[in-house]
Amino acid sequence: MDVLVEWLSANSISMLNGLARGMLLFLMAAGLSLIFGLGDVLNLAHGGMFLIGSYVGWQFLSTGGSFAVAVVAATAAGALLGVALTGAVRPIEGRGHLDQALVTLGASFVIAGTLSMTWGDDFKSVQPPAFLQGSIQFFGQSYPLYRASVIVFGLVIAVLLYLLVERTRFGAIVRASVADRQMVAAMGINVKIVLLSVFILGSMLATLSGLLGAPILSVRPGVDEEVLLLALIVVVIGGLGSLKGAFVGALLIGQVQSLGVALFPQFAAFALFGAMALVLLVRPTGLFGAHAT
Amino acid sequence: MTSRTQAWISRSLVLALLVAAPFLLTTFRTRLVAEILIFAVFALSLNILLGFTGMPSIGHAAMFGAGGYAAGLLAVNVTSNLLFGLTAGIAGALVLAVVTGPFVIRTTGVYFIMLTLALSELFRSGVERGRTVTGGDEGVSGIPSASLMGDIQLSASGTPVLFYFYVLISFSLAYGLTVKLKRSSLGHTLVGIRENPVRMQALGYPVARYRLVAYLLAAAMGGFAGALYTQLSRFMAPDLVGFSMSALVIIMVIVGGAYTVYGPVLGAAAVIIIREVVAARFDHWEIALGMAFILIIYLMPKGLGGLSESLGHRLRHTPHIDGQNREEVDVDVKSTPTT
Repeated sequence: MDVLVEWLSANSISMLNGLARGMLLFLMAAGLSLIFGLGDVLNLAHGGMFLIGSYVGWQFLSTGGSFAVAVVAATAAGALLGVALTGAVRPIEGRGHLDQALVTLGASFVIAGTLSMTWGDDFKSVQPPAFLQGSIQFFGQSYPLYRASVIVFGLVIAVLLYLLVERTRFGAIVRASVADRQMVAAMGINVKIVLLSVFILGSMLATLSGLLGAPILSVRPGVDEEVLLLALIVVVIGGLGSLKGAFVGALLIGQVQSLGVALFPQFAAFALFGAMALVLLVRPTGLFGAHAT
Repeated sequence: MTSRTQAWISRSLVLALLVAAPFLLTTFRTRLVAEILIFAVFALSLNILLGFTGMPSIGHAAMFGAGGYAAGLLAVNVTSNLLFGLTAGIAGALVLAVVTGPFVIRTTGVYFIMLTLALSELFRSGVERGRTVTGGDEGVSGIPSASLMGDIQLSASGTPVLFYFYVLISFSLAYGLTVKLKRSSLGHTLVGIRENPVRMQALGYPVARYRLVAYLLAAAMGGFAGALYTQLSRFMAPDLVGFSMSALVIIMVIVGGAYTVYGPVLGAAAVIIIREVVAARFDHWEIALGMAFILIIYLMPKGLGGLSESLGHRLRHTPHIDGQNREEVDVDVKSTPTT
């Protein structure tokens, strides 16, 4: 027991860092999962959306803008991207997963190129907003207030998303559309609008995650690919289309990334592979995914 | 003219042009053609998965990278013999495929897409971290000028024409093998699995095993291409094995047309030439590439190969052929004796 307590207190900072990363990943993976669940589109531009959020954050915060304005700007950008994404996949509706994924892949190229054209290839560092600077005491150790807030904020969003999907009329329509889109349309509900709102919601979560992550991760070209990779692993582990899966998978990968790096620095990449391989061996469609379709 | 003689004529014409190329073009352009041929091999290898078997891998660059790193490291540390390099490239990619294959073939559809992408990014980050062996971010450099059997020196910079023919022979080998594969019963089984895996399973074909075979074949050829690339550029780096490289080769296959053998070759030529032209004038060529890619998916679902094929069919007044059944029609054409 003492050994456990000692171990926990020695690694508590790593675990908290993992939790903060996990929350950012959850926001990404939730969007990815929602867009796939309802729109049937694997959005490979999701990493690009994250990076747009980061750059928007840098733009506002580095010029002394308020954090609230940055949040509004990033989510507005996300909403616009969601509309654009819906428009981009509309012409090839029903052409299969690969074609749709490839269109978003093309879009991710355009986004990455545009970002590096606009903001350059240099590393940009973002300071947390003034009211979230400093640190708090956590079991006798100090921990950055900003990261702690990200954890709390992530949890709040997770609860809100859960309530939205499980407890509201909109959520019921979304779930019904996932199950049987034709039937929902036959009941007089405009599925196109539901689809559009889910794309917007998912994209807003991605840009928001990018904005919140900007002070924690670095802002530079290439982050989009790294974050997309992690979100994909989360979704592979948790199961596509499942919010619960995205949450559990994100927490797991957050810990693997942080605790795993702290404990076995040489094997971090293999730990990711190991976690994914293990889950796929047991359940090829992820922990909470529907069985093979 | 039957379609077979037509194919034969066009194939000989292209081969003649390729043989003549180093004597007509500048050294720089010859090198570019060699690069196109190497990427064509890479695209052909992806097409075994994507086009033949219907396994849309978005992480095929890992195989290219495994081959490239194996060949590069062998050349730096042991021997600069080209043929050993090629063998090491194939072996390196096969090792990676044997490790990942059993997991990858368990998944289908969108999970397959995600898993292959994730695996290749893991491979890239592993290469980046394994600094002591792979050189980390900087990659493998200082690969010695290659030799072919004893004293015969062969390198892209020293003996460009000789090296070009070495690449051309390697390409022809890969192309010939792909044509053979497509006509073989293995090839037809793979196409069957693409079209209807459930039915193939019901007919008694061990679908998972065939998927694994396709995965290993594609890996071996991808590693072969990676080894060739390292021998051409004498350099290998993590940037060359990541997401953007996988995307590039998918674009080649899709642009060229996935269901044909020559499509990916056309696609490789188109993409490399566009990159050369755009990159010379515009720093951010990936924007143009992304836009072109989106447009091609919208407008030409079957790529350039599909376009030329449907034009060809229309000109020859063959009965109406539905795009969906093109594969079966191809098979019919080949099995009827030509007179």
